[in-house]
Amino acid sequence: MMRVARILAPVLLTLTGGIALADDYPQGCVSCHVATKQQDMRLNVVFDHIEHSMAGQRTLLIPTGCERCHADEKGVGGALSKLIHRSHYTDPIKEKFTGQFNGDCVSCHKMDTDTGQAEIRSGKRNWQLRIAPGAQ
Amino acid sequence: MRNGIHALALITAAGLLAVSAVATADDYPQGCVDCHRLSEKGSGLRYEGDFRIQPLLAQTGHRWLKKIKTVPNDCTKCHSDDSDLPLATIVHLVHFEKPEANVYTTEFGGKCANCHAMDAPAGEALVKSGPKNW
Repeated sequence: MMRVARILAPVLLTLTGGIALADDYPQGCVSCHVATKQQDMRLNVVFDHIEHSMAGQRTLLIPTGCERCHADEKGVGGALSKLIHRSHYTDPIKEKFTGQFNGDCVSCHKMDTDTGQAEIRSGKRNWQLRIAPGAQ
Repeated sequence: MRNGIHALALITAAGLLAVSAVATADDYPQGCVDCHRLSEKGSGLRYEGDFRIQPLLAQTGHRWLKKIKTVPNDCTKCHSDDSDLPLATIVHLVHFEKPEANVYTTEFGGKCANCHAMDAPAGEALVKSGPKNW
């Protein structure tokens, strides 16, 4: 077995050009959901649009912190994976995600090439907390 | 175990040479067996050889897959998620280890959609499968 591998290894390596893999979305959600001059697509705006609870606004690490309500097994708000997959791959959002923004699995997921585990990208929230009128 | 996975990675990468490097996810509706197939001389494919999974695995010392009918579903009978060698871990490693030199990445774009499909209404990512081709 190892003899075969040793024979194949130099053959395979000479066939490859060695491609550096660019990472356009290092922080997953918040790498895409940003505010531009044309549109504010940050998640706090999305939360307002879907009438999400204010707990979403306070989430510090996206989407890791979302699991306190949207854990896969016991999430009271429904499994985050299903919600996100459903919303990003069903029209009308699908047209934007996969069409306009050329989104796919690696927009949100990354592969740990040492362990073979698929992980979810995360990043710090990119909006400021709102202070209610009259609050200290 | 790691040496075995390395050997499997190299051999499996060779299996990918049977398929044209220019392809879309739709070209692999049955996942594994759409890529790992017999590429005969004169077939017009970029590389020629027997890149089916059973012959490839036989080179690594893997047991004969006589009970496998659907690939890779039936593989999880031994390679379940809670086993010592979960199938997801093995397959991800052989296809993505050392991405700068891995043929799956450099020649075939390393696309998740070659092996996975999205059930949008259910919001679940699935593993494509197909009948064995050996």
